[in-house]
Amino acid sequence: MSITLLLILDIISTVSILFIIATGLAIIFGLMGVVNLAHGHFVMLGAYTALLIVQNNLNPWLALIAAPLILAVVGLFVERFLIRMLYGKIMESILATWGLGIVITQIVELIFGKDFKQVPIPIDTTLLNIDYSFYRLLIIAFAIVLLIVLALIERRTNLGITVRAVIANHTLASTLGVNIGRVYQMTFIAGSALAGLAGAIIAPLVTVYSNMGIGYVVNAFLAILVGGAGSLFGLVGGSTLLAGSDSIVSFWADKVWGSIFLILVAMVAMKIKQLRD
Amino acid sequence: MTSLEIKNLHSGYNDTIIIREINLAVEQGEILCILGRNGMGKSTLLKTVMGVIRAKEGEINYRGISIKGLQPFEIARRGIGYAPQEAAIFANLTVRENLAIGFPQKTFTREAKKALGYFPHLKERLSQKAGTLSGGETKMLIACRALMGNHDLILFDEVTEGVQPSIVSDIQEALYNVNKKNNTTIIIVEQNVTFAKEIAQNYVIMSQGSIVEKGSGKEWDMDRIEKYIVI
Repeated sequence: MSITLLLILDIISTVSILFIIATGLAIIFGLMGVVNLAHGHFVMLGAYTALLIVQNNLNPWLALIAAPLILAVVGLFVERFLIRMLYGKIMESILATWGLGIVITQIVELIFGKDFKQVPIPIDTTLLNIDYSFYRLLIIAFAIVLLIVLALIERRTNLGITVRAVIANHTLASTLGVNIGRVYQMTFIAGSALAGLAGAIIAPLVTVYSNMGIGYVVNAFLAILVGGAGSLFGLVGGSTLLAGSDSIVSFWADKVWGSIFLILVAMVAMKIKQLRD
Repeated sequence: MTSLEIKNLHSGYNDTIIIREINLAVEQGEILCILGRNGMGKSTLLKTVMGVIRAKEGEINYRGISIKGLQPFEIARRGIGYAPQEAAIFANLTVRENLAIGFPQKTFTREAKKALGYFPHLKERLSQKAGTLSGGETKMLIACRALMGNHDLILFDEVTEGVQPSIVSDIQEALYNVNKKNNTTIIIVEQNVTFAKEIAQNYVIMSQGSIVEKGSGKEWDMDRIEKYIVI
């Protein structure tokens, strides 16, 4: 397999992972104006769900159902008892969810310890004669399906119209009979479930530990800032720009330079965006 | 039957009181016009009824039941429609999507067909982004949306502001027909006295946040009205 094809597949799979992780965060931030710094910790909980399933000798694919369900329940409680008081309050939401993240980390360390864990890849094979992880190809396919499903929901359903209306003007939407509180609640639950799903998906590719989500949440936020909150295809663009440049530099240099370059690209992209606006 | 009853209402933003001691009773099927210059509290009154601004004091009863303190969506679901003054559209949504908000698909098709009957011009714009409509078309869209949903009471805030005469007469005809066919109560905030006089049975004039004049039937005393509003 040529190095170029390998690099292209690596870029696409890295973009796909960032997109899957950032989607839930973008939905919550775009709609509710809540910066959920605990999103990375939700991703981590999804990964630990996958770990638990494997440790209990259950079908590893079960994690793709269990993780979003568990995180949906977590999201329900977090929204009800914390986030509901922070709608539209960016600074307060940053502080509160940062604190929530610390609590989640401590609980996970109490239960699972601080050790690094590994989750085996559920399907360790290649497709046709392509010498590339089939699991990574599945992630690419999943990201594409997720994008199509979300785009269809956004454009073709009443739910999508309602969500876009609430993002544009929640007071006006409310005078038209839309229960804003319910929309926010469902959004937070959906965003949390997506974080859980992302964690379960990436678990076999990374080291699972209590602070694993922090790096992802930073990159996801940068992708949202570059692509624009509330825009699905903007998020795809942001993820592609950042994860793409990270992959290319990491491939030719190393991971540290990749991360530095990612931040530089994000800063330049945001400056250009600011000048255009 | 009294549709809307307001007793000793005080309202405003933060610590500032904008409207004070408002007392008003509107009968079912009545068309009432609220007249007054800019900044006299007319829009604040409608916003308070709709729950967009919280009332500080007093009572707001709709069909005999208090709606004070309810959220706007709860008030809307009780049967009160609202057409705000500002360009109250979702600019990035199409005209069809603007009309669909708050309705299940089946109800939407029925209600849209009914309301668009009053504004056939909008039918040609259904797939167009609402942000690209002209000022008059935007007002039509706001009025059309307020007419959807079998409301018993509809609040219109300066629905004819900056609109060409042909569109004003379309809006006037739509409001008149809805009132006659469904016995819908309509409250209109207006500065266009000619429009108001043609459509409303009763009027009140607001000045400095209070109701200073009331008139009904043929008792539109233009000299007194002229004291408070430029005709």
